[in-house]
Amino acid sequence: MPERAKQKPRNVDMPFAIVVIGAAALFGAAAFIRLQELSVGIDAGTSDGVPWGLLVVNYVAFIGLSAGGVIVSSLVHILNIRRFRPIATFAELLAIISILLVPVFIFLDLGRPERAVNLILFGRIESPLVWTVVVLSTYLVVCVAYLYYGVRRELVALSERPGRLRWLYRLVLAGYKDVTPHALARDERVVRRLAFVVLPLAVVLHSITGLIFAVVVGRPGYNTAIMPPLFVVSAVVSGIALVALVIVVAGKRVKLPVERGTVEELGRILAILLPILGYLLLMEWTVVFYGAEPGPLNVWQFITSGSYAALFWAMVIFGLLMPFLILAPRRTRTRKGVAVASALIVFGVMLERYLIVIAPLLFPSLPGDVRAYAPTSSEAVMVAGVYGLGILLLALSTKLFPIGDMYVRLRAREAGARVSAATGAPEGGGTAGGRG
Amino acid sequence: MVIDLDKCTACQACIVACRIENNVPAAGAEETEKGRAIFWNQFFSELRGSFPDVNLRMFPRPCMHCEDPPCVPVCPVEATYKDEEGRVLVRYDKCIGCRYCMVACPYGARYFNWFPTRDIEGQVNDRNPDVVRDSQGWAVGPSPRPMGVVEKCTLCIQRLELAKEEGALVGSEHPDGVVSACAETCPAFAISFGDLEDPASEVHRLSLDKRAFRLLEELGTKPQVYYLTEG
Repeated sequence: MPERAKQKPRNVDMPFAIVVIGAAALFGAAAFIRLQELSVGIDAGTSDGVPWGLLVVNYVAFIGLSAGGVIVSSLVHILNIRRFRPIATFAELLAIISILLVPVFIFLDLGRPERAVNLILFGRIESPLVWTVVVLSTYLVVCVAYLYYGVRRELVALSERPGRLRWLYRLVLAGYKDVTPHALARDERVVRRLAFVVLPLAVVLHSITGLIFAVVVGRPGYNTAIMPPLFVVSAVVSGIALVALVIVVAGKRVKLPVERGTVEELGRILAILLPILGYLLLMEWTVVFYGAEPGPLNVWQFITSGSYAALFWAMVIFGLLMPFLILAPRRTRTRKGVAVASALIVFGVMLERYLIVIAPLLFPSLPGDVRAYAPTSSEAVMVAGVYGLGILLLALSTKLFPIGDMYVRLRAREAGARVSAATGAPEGGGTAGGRG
Repeated sequence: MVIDLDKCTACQACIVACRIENNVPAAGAEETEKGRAIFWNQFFSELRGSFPDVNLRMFPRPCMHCEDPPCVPVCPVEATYKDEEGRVLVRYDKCIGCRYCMVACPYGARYFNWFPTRDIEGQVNDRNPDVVRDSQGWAVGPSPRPMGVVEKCTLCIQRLELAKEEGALVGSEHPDGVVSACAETCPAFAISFGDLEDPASEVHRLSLDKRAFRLLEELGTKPQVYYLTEG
């Protein structure tokens, strides 16, 4: 096998190369703009009246997108829906990448990013931003542990297979190579327990993200108790949609072992959750429009029939109604249908975040005109750059760690006759691993 | 601080005096257009009612130095804090520039340094050299702020610290009492300055006047700046 690999001219994986180079270039552009900003001033649509803009919208959105991994792991380990087992670790990978992008948005947005360490040195525990720092980092650690224990078996198999990257797998495993049934059962148990930790942690995380806004007393539109539950449901809906979308778009490329009907089942779950999101929004609007309290009424009138009406109705129609109509009937709940609906949902939740974060900032409490905010091209490039970084991380991690492929092989080997000729390979690999 | 809107002539000398006293950086036309001009003390005008029954209210708005400031607890790094005298201050060299306090402040009294200070000749030559540090050594006074941090009214802390050092009297009720730059400048004597908790002070007396009100009182922030409504 190694000799054959040497003789073959090295194939360049063109789509992979294009994705990696394109994504890296985007991120490079974002980094360049940011460095420029730090010397000459911040080029954004933000102002003293509208201090937060597109980067904060994305910060909030990406915390939300990380919920997909948690939900899939809960489906597998808490609700015992085994069908999702093969995609659980992949969903967790998406969650981890989403979480990793959150501090990147922060660094692009902070006035003094080099002082971010103050969050740890001087953290004020009353601040929801400090709650976020604490919970988000805990969440990241738990998610990484979940992913690690979930794929350890595949990692050991990879490290025993001859190849140029064996050192990497051994490094990640830190010398671990126990794949006895006892060890596998223990790993499975750890993963199962972590699923029970990660679910409440996710609820806390998304509630806190909502609380960042809800606790602001003097800001009509932010200051409502519906925010935390709304953020939890938005996060879950967009997170699952992201998992479904990425599986359809890139599942084959990363050789993800998706069982038939998995994507459709995710679509069905989304069809159940979308009305809950709609319900929470409807309750908020009912209370706001029923009363005459000028603060929230102004904000929501502005959103529904003022300058932001186009965005609002786009969110309602394309982000809520259309995906529901696609996902609810079994006839349209196909792989393609779910992919389209999921893309619409991710887009819709992004719009929802935009409206919720930006619109309340436009209204001054003291006398004055309604303010305006429009993202600049610099902001757009920086956001695109972080999306690029996310794609880059996804492409590299699935390329360097062909877990899906190995998962299929291991299960095939288990299912197939153990007597087949291939038995020599793992033993040989094992001794090589012992030497290394 | 108490601002009598019956005496105020809307001349805005207080706004200018504040800028000079506290080294408030100039923004230039372009950034001002974007809403990025810093005003520790800002002037507001509000037209109420419709013609012919209209009422124009104009008032300066320094920081309210709320007793229960919404901006302080949200600061994730303790850069903004309430000092023992009840002032809300910013430690410029600790601030990470997240702008959460600006979102939290309903009075819009907080401003961000979106770009590096543009040195305008006059401003460099006539810079207020005062430096005020808190007990931990962080600069909180009028010394120039770096880019990327939030700044706001300090109730002219440099004047009050100096008065404390020299044992000078503070408050509008004393003929030579130390007051903030806005109060000192006001040609109509509309702005009174002093210790609200001192029963002998002018501001204490005025804050109990039946014309006294505070901005956005319904939010429960308990501003320490009172206004006297037009009689």
